[in-house]
Amino acid sequence: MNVTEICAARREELLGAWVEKFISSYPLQSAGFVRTSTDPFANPVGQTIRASLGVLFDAVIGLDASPHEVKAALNDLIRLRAVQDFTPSQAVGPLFLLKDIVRTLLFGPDPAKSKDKNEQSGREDAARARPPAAEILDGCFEAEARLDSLALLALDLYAADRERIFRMRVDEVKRAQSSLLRWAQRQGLPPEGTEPEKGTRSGGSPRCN
Amino acid sequence: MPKMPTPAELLAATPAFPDKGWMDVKSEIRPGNFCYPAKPDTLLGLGFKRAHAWAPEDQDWNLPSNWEDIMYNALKERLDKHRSLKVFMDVCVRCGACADKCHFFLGTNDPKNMPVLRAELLRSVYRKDFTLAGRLLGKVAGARKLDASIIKEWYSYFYQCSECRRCSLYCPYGIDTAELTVLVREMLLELGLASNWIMDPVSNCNRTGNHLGIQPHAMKEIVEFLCDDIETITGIRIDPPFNEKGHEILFITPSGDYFADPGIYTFMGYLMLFHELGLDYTLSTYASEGGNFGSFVSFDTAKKLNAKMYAEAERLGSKWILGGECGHMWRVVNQYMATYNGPTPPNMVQPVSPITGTVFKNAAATKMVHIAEFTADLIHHNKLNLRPERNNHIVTTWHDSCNPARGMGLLEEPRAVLRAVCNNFVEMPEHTIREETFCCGSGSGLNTEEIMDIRMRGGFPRANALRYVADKHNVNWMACVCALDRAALPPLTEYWVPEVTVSGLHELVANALVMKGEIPRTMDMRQEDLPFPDPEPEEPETREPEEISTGAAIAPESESKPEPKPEEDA
Repeated sequence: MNVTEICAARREELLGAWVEKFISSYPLQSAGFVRTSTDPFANPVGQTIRASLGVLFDAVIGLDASPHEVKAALNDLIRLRAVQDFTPSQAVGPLFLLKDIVRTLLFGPDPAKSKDKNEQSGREDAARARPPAAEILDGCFEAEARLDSLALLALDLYAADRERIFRMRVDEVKRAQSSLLRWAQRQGLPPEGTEPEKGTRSGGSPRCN
Repeated sequence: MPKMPTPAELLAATPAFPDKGWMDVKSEIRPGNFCYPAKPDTLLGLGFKRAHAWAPEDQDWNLPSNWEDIMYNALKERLDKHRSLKVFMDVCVRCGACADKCHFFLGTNDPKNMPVLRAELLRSVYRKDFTLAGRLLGKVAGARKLDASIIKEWYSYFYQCSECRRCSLYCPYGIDTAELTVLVREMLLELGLASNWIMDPVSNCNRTGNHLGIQPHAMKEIVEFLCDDIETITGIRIDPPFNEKGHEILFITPSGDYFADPGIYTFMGYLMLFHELGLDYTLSTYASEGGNFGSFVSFDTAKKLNAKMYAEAERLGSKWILGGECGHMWRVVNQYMATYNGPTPPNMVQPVSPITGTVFKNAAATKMVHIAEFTADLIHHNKLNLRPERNNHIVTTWHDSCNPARGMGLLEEPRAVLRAVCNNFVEMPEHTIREETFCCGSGSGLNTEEIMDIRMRGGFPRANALRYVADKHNVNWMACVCALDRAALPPLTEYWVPEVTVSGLHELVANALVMKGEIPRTMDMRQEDLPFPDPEPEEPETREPEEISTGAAIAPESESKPEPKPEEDA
């Protein structure tokens, strides 16, 4: 068994622990609901996290994954986290916590060895036996490198999402008064808002619809 | 060297169990988390005498020195005035049925965005001041004394409710969080605290007639631009009447339709439809905003703005009002107007469609018909020449806007229109549409750019359902009947589902409408090339829709209401 197979055999458990790391960033009073509701429309946050991390998990442990799907899954996850009032590191950071989860599995006690020998045939033992430590270490490094690549991509996506929000704010103001800007241009007037507003700190917002 | 924290320590996940109760968790006020405050001049002009300069990020909000008395009296007065408030304060058993129904809770997972806890923010103060158990037992009875931090909490959380009423649909007692939100905002107004995005339009609607405060001459010129565009697209010149007395119908739509993209395309659709029908109508610059911005914050301002529409109908001698695609206007008209302003002016009569003769019995009291009802009736009676294949490049879904859907039950009429003008229509999943529709996340005055993040979180459940049909059925369009939606949904889809375009219903009607004497259409209402342009005029009209339409356009039944089957997605 190589590292990919070891992790794939325990997929649900490892993935569950990783999902938990993301969900625990929400307040406890609501995290229970996010964990337990499985309806993608009644619990969009929980299900988006779960679905995205499922795809990312397979990619990290080295299963076949289409780059397009992996990027789409990461995109869904980051787009959500980017507007949820987290700092950038809180938004993206729980990605890294898969490392601890995988290391604990790979370098913790070997469940095959600890089991009662009488329950296992020698043949199954051989099939489940772990490869030498050096091989595990190599496999682990490879998985972590893949995770690092995803994290770098996540950084790009996060920044792009934030930039999109800022652009949307400007576009919205323009869209809200598109007729007015057109009218002002025909009158030879400068578009509204080109002069700074005087007065108090309050009421400084541009008017928009 | 000091120990470097591990990633797990750095991320500092929420502790397993909170070390303090919700009452002790103070809300954080920082840029991006609050709406900009209203200008004192604006509030003073509207008669709110405690208007003052303040900034949300400041520690001191410059409240009047006797603000605690003001708040006590404000709550007492409202408890006496609104029996519903008293019931809502006492009856909640905290069953939690509403908790996971709020789109803001679903998008933020912040417990104070559960409707039950949002109401509890007020209810706890009510208990302290107005119940014996609360006075005696305090915190044990869920009561707390009002302090300045609670005022800040209210300004934060009651401006994270879009008054969409989805929660009240699920509440076994029918507690209406939207009304609580309005009442708390109204109480905050007594301290001079309000949002600029709401109060500026209230003031403009009050004074000038539209939400941007555009003067009548400029407004008329802007409509002329739109008529130029209609002429470019159809070859037909329209000259709509303004402020003219003696017309049968006064047409009032949200002023966003005059000024904002993409509402203007829907507005052009109205004008084309009226021209084609030869409708006897007038526009008004004095009542040019149907959307009742006052209803977001205060019953008194809502009442005043609602009365303005009817005063104008009386002045112009119109028999009834045809209302455009709007949300909050309809909630006020259907649910509050009778108690606000009583009977309509004597010159107004029960609306009858001059084209089909249909009597709109549902409008007997309000004398006001929604344009989706009006157009569905026209289509049902086969009065419009439509070419839906002009919209064949569009695979559309339908967003039920909260107020028309939940506030007046406008569910089938817009769908009937949509099916008649667009061959490809896909419903979003069950429990996200019709009465259970998810809000755009920006209703009730939250549609302001400084809280874009909050709006994106709040709109996520809507976008998530849209994402599903976009992925599964290649939906590339979302139509709706609400001006706030037309303003709020474009950024929402740009962020979550960028391939989807947002429009009003009558933009699609205008695309499909074949007008007498028009030139062959090569452009849609946005002056973009039609992938399926009209054939040259010499050719006989032979094209048939390639896909089956369930449209009411070909249904000559005699029933008064179309009842198309919904194409719901499992």
